[in-house]
Amino acid sequence: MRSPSRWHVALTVGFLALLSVAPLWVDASGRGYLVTVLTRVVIFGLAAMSLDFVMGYGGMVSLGHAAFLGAGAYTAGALTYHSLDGSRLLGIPGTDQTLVTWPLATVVGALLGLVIGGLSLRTKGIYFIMATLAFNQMIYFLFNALEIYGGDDGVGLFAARRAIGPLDASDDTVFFYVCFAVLVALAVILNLVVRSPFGRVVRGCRSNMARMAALGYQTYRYRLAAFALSAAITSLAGAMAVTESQFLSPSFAEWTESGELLVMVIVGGLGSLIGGVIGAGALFLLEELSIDITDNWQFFVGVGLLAIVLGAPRGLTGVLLGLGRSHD
Amino acid sequence: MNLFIEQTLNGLQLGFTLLMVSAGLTLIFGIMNIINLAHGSAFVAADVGGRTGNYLLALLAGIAGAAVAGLIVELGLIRRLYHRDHLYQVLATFALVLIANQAVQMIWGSTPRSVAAPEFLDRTVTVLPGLPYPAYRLAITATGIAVIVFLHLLVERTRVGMWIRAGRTHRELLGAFGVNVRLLYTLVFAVGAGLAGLAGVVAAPFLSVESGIGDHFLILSFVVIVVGGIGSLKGALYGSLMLGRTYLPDLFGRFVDPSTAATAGASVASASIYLVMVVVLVVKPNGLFGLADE
Repeated sequence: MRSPSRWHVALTVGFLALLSVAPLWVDASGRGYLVTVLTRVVIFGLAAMSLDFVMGYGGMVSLGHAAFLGAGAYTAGALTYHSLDGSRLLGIPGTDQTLVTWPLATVVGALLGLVIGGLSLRTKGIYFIMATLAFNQMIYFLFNALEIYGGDDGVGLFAARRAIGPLDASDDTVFFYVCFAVLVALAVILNLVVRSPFGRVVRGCRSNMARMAALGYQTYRYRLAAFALSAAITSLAGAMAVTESQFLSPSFAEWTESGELLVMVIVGGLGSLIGGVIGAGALFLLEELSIDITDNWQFFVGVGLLAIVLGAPRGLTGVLLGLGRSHD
Repeated sequence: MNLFIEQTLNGLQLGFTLLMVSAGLTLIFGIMNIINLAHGSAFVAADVGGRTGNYLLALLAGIAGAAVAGLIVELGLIRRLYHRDHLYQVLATFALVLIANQAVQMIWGSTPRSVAAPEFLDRTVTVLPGLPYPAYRLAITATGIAVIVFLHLLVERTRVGMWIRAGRTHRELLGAFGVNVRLLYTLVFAVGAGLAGLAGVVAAPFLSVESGIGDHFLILSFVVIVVGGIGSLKGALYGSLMLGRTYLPDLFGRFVDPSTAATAGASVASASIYLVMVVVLVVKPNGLFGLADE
């Protein structure tokens, strides 16, 4: 178990600071369109960070987090959809007010996390991975069946506002900072959680579940609570992602999306929280750089991933912290 | 009544196709304790072989190609991951999925293709008065039965099978007795991949062959194994047949008649197989026939 080091805090603050000025930099260099890419880094980085929380600290390898991403996207997206055409969802009028849709998506994610986690955590090891993946598929097919939102084609919500309270965040730079604020808040919260007594029990379960049980902890409940917290945050990220893209489709919940979140965590560095955001940054950067050269950038993601698994299992954060340590 | 019989036969055929993928996977999980997401890609590799025209040639090429691919992957990659966390096995094989899917697209494009059944099976037989049924589907069911009988005899009646069973629980001891465990693992992995390849070729005529098609079968196989229990051939058999019957409406909607694939009913049917899994997880977390401590 890693103790919070000075270097780790410095890396977290440093990377977030870098991210906070990135829109100004891309604007100044005349590539303002990249702001939306940065926003996606923030949103998917948030999801990867919450996955790192269950995986790096809780030892629960989930290959089903795209289910929560999709749940958040469909909660927020459906409400927005109904506000656009004025229809009702189960008797409730729709809304594009993110102060309503985002918290609601978070709650839906937590509940879904309790159900999926509650069942999957009855299993261990490989079974757990496969069970989360299977639940992911179940959710994916359910979204596919929602003909009202375009079935497997999805539906555009382009006429919707990005309303945040009285603020209209339709401007991409404004919206970036809204998402960034959410990311910073949750980075602080998650860092506090992993250092809290609750977080210590969860980390203890990762190291030695039998011993934690022998000490009298209800390991199942602690792990389930951690899983649900992660699901809630990932679901929030899904809601943010649909507000960003203004397009709702089942692809949010595709199993490869779960895999990509996993990749972000590993590329960035497992068990560091900020690693998820760094990994998201690295992945979107690679996509952006290679998209002009080749359509098959995922091929190179695969090759790079193999290199990381075999050569640098602690990811970029591990490399950066290793550099930091050498100066200690 | 005829419809019911036809549906059941279809379910059997699908179940046995699924079984060919799952049986190889469950052997790999059971003995090597390694998770392999790229297993479905062997399915694709074989599908590709299935386009060469001569069906029997394609069958042999598909199985051999998938087995050799499995051999290379085991020697070059999986071998380094035995002692690593499952997470890294997931990641490494996910990387293989990305590479394989993209490679298929780069080489053959993203347009789905269809593969014809071999001529001598491209007809119907009358299984019951008034119920014609495609001979090819019956042949798949027969192939699946042959595979499971072969695997059962291999695992339960031969020396290699004895090693496989021993390797599941007493890996070090098996090595101490002079068995080349590394070679055994490599062979099991190659046989598993070959089986996925076989499934890929035989399934090709009633699927539209495209990059990523293996993923569907891979995830279904995971469900089969979660339901049946890791390492249990019996579990894979019962799991496959159960899911084959349940999943049926969707798979046929999805692959045979794309226009009906869009209907909500099909997607709900495919979601329903996961309900089967949920029930089993609640009652028996290690699967129906899983070992008590995995």
